[in-house]
Amino acid sequence: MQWQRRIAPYIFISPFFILYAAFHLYPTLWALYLSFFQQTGIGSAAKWVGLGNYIKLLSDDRFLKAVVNTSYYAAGSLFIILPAALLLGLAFNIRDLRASSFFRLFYFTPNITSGVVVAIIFGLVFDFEYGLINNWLLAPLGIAKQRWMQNAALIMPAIIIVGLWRYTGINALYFLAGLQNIPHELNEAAQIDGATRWQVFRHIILPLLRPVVLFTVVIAIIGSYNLFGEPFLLAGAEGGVRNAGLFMTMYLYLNAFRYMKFGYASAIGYALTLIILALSLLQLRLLGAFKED
Amino acid sequence: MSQLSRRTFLKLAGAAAGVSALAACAPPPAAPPVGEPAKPTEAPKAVAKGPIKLELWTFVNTHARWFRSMAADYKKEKNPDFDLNVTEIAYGDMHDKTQIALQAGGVGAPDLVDLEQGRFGGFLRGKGDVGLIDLTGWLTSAGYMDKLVASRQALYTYKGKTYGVEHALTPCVVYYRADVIEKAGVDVKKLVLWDDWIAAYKPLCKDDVVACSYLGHDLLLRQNDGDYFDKDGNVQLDTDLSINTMDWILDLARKHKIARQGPPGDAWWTAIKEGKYLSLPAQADWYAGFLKDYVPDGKGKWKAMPMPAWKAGGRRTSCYGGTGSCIVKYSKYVDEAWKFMQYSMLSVEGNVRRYLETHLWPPFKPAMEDKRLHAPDEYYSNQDMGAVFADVGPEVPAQYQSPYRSEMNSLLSPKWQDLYDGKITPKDTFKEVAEAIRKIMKEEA
Repeated sequence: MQWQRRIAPYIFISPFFILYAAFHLYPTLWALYLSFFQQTGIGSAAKWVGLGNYIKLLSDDRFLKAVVNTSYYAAGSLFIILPAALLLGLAFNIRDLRASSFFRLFYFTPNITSGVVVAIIFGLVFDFEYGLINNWLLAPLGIAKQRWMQNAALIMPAIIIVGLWRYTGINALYFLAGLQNIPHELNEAAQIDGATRWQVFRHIILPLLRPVVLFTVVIAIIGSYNLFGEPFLLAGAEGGVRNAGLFMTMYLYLNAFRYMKFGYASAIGYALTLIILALSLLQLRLLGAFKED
Repeated sequence: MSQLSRRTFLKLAGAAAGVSALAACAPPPAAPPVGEPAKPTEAPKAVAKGPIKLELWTFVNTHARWFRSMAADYKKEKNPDFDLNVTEIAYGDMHDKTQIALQAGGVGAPDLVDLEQGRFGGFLRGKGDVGLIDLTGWLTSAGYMDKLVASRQALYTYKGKTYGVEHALTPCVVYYRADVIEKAGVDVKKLVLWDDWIAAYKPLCKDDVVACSYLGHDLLLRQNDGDYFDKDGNVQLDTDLSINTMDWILDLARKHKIARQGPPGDAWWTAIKEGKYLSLPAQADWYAGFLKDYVPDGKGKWKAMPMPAWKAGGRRTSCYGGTGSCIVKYSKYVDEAWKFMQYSMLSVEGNVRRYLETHLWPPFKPAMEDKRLHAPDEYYSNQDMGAVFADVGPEVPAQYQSPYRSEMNSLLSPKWQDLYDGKITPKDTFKEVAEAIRKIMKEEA
């Protein structure tokens, strides 16, 4: 019976590993393998092309455009959505804020709303003729109506606006969790020593928030490069005018499901993985995640 | 009993994982031989005995309703053991799921599936087995080939094999605001040529009211005996005919000032309700139902007429859209699926009922003369809509399928806006896209 006791823990944890191997590891390895082949069409034979698919990506205008667009959105996430979330988190953290629970729920709700629903609603919000933004925000300010989804220059800002609405709340809650872990005595001590609010924020709050910043930055990068539903539904499968809203995930989808180029789509998937990995490692290094305290 | 050490267990687990990984790296199964002639009949994989439950996927709710009602009657009249489960799945998802199921050798695939013509070409890509039953032999031997409109069946036929049966003839007509046009004294019977049509609508376009939005380029091209691909699959996008057709469409706004780009999505229906567009000069039969659904207040305001022709005696229609019903070759009940297809898709009763429920004009010739298709339609001021479709039906042009149609549309899609805005020319754009597709075709040859 000794061996049964020894094996029991492995049997208990085996369902996860079996499912993981079958539904994650196997497809992941298969996709890597497939990325070295040209396989186009249902039931077609695969032809070995080595690194051919990856080399082709480097001269594929639409892929490069998708990389630029996705990076544009990632930059928006890092430099617009996260700072907005930090400000909101600071606001949530104000003592004696009335109805703070309501505000937290209010700003969190967009995150649990289906991406499809969000995209459909924002499609109406951005409409040229009848849209909320043109008629209720721009018109009162005397600004001309904008063709948000028909103007290549405005498609990405529009998608970032959707991201701002959808993801600011959840990130604000992450920051709030971090802010609430900062001992209040530190703030008080600094203020007694004559530090201004900005100095307290810059030299006490921000350094102590580093683990949360690190987490949100990495999650934002991964989320941005994986974004699919919102741009797909807002801008169309090809990303609208001049592929201005074409994301890497959408280009992967187009190749796999519209053009049936399974090998090439697999290569796009691995290129995406490499980009996310490289950027995440860079961020971790820049933010000092590898430093020993 | 010998003990299993942790080290041994990990070794075994590692070996198992290695085997899985190696299995993952096994070469993909070889494709079946290509280009074999279609067999007259393909024997079903298993003979159905006892209860038969078929699964059908469709992305159109009206098709789903019709299939369900046909299945109920089939069960009653033909086979009490028959049961059809109709699953409605969103357009993109349904085609993606079908594709994955076929790529996986039929795992989770339905028995019958509706494939839209725009996505159908993608299923033909490559040199492998499509995964759908080649119906050519059955359709020929049962005499259906002559009863179906060949130009529509061309959409589901590739290299001599027919994989689907079309739901609709999709004859295109002009839907127009009779309350405005006829009230202004225009005799629509005299609008025989596009020039007549432009001249008649010009005086009616005032302020933000225009004759129409931009017309579909491929649709008008087909009316004029062209298309994006010819019957041999050659790219025709950059022909003079194609370029001139696009220039003509743009001239409706640039030169004649009677057209404007329609708003996307639901805003389009709001604009129609507000009377900003006086006509839909090239829309298919199924649009008759759309107007009823989205513009219920338009009852008594709209009518339909044949499209104007490019030249005297020319074709007064085109075709737009279409969906083919296909049998998946991995089905356990191929034989029963074919019998049900005959009962529903290839019968007078099935085609008539589908028109009454969905406004899809039958592509099945024996059904076209049925009196029930010619009932006055209250929404269209009691007009005999069936007569309009029947009038132009025989002229519906062919639309040839190509595995590259989907990718061509994908390359064209980001360019339409710049074309409409005059930032790029039809000539340069069409040549660029045509060359890109030719290059891809060459690479995959």
